Amino acid sequence: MKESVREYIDSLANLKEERALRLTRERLEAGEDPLKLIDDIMKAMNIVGRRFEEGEYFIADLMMAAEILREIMSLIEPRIKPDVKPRFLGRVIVGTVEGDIHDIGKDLAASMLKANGFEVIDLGVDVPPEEFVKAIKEYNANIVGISALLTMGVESMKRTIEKIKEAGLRDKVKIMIGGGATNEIIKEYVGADAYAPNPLVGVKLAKEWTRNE
Amino acid sequence: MSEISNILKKWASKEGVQFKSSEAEKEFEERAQRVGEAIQLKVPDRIPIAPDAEFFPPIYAGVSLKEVMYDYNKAYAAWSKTLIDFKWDAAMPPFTYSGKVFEILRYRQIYWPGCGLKDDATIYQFIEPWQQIKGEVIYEGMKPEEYDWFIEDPSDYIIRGFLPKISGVLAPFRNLYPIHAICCWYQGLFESLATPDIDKAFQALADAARETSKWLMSFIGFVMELKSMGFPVFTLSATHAPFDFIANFFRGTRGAFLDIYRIPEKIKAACKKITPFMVEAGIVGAKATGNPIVSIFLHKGVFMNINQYKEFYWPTLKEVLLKLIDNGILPYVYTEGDYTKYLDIIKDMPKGRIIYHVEKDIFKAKEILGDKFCLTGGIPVSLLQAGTPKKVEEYCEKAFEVLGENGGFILDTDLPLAEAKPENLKAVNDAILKYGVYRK
Repeated sequence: MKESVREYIDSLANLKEERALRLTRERLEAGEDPLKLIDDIMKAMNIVGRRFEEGEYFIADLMMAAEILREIMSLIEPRIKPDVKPRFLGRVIVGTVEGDIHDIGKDLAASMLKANGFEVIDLGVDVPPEEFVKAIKEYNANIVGISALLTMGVESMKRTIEKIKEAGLRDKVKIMIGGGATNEIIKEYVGADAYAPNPLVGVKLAKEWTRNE
Repeated sequence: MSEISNILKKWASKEGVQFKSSEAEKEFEERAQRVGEAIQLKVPDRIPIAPDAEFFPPIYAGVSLKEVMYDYNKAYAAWSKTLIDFKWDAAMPPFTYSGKVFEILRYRQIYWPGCGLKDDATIYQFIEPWQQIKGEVIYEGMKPEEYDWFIEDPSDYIIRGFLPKISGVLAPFRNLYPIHAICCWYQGLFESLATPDIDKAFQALADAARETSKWLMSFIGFVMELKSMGFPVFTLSATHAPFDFIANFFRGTRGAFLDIYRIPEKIKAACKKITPFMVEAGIVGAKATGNPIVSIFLHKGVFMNINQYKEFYWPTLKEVLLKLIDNGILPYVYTEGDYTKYLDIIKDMPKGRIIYHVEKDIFKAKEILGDKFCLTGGIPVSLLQAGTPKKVEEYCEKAFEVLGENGGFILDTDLPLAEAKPENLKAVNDAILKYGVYRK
C-alpha cells in the first residue's frame, strides 16, 4: 500500500478530522478517482469497526466518524461522474416507530450502514406502520431497521411488523430492531428477525443478510 | 459527614404527617425500615420493592397523560391508585410537569400530548437541540462559539442567550442588557426592561410562575398525602452530572461528542464552571424537600469510551457526588444504559454513601458493587411488557437468589416503567413473598 494511502486511511481511522479533510481535498485536486477514495474510506471504516469491537471506540467515536464521513462525502460526491452508478451492498429502510421522536440511535445506525456500503432510505421519526409498508414496496427494499427508545414504542413496533405481514411483505424483508427499549425478549415479542444492540451489529446483520441472498 | 443512620432518620421522618390510620402509620414505619436497611447494606425482613413508576400510573388508571398534565389532581389519583393496588415499599413521585406552564412559555424542549404529540400519547418526549422533526429544526442549542459566553457567565448566557432559543415568549430577553451590568449602574439594567416586548415576556414569566406555584403546591400536598397513606417517598429532588447538563440541554448529544474532539478544553471548562452549581442544586433540593436522597440520572457517559469517560464525564460527576455526600446527602445514582464497564470507577465512592441503580447487567454489578452500595433494579420492563406471570415468577426466583444475597438490594424495574401488564406486576409482588423473604 502506498504511504500516502496508508496515511489517508489512518487519518480517518484515527478520527483526525482536519487531516482527513485536507488529504481528501489534496487527492481530489490531484485528479484521483473518487471511487478509489471511497474504497479507502471503506477500509478505514473497517478499522473503526474493529476498534469498536475491541472496546477502544464507543458511540461518541462513531458519531465523530459519521461526522467526518459526512464532510468528506460532501467533497467526494460532486466529483463522481453522473453516469457512474454507485454500487450498493443492499438497500435498507430505517425509521423510528410511530409515537417516538428519538433519532440519535436511528441516525447513527443509518450513518454506519451508509459508511459500510448500504443505500439507506431514512423515513425519519414518528413513522406510522403504513409508511414502512409503503416504503418497502416503493423502494423494493429487503432490509428494514426499526428503532424505539421508549417502551411504548415497542407496541408500535409490533403493529408495524404486523402491518408488514398483512401487506404480504414479511417474507420479502429481513427486519432488525434496535434502541433503548429493545432486546432479545422484545425481538420475540414483536416478531423481528434480529436485535441489534449497537449500530455496528446492525451493519453486520445487514451484511449477513445480503450475503445470503 | 453525617452518619448514614441519621440521614435515613431524616428520610423516614414522620414530622407533620397526619396518617390516615394507625395501620398506615405502622406500614410507613415498616416500609421505611425495610428500605432503610437495604440502603445501609443490611438484610431487611424481605426484599423491598420500589419501582420508578414514571408513566405507568396514568395508563394503569385509565387517564390520559394529557389529562394529568393539565389536571394535577387526576395525576395524583392515578398515582394513589397504583400505590394502593401494588403496595410498593417506597413511592417515586410523579414527574408529569404542568402542560399549562409549558404552554404559557411556549417551551420547545419538550413535546407533550397536544403539543407536538398526539392527544393520546402516553409519554412526553425531550427534543434535542437542533433535532429535526419532519424536516424542521425545532430549536437551536448553544453554538460552539457561545461556549466562551457560557463559561464567563452561565447565568447571563442562559437568561439572554439560551432562554430566547427554547421559549417562544422569552425571545425578547435577547435584548436585555447583560445581567452583570447591574454591578455598575443598576438603574441601567432597568432601562432595558422598559420595552413593550420585554414587558410582555415578563408578564408571561409571571403567569408561568403563578401556574408553577399552583402545580408545586398541589405536588407538595400530594407528597404529604402519600406519606399519610403509609408510603415513604424515595426521592424528591435531582441534580445533574455536569457533562449531562451541558450535553442534554445546551449542546445536544452529537454536539457534545463532537466538542470532545474539536474543542475539548471548552467543554471541560464549561463542566468545571457549573460543577459548584450542580452541587448547590442538590443541597438546596434536599433542604427544600426535607428528603436527603437526591437523584442523579446519568445520561451521556454511557456513550463514551472509557478514556473519554475518565477525562470528560467522571471528574466533575465525582466532585458533585463527594460534595453532596459531605453535605449529608445520599445521592441516588440512576444509570440509564449499560454502565458495566464503569463499575470499577464508581466503586471508589465511600461505602454505603450512594444508592446505585442498574439498568443493564445488574448481576455483574452485584458481583462488583454488592458489598459497597445498595443496588436498585433487577426486573426488565420488557419482561413485564412482553412476558407472562409465569415467566415473571421464574425470572424472579432465579434473580432474587443472586441479587438478594446479603441484602443491600431494592427491587426496581431496569427502566422507568410505562407499558407493563398489571398481572405481571402482581406476579412480582407474589414472587417477593415467595422467594424474597429473608426472615419471617
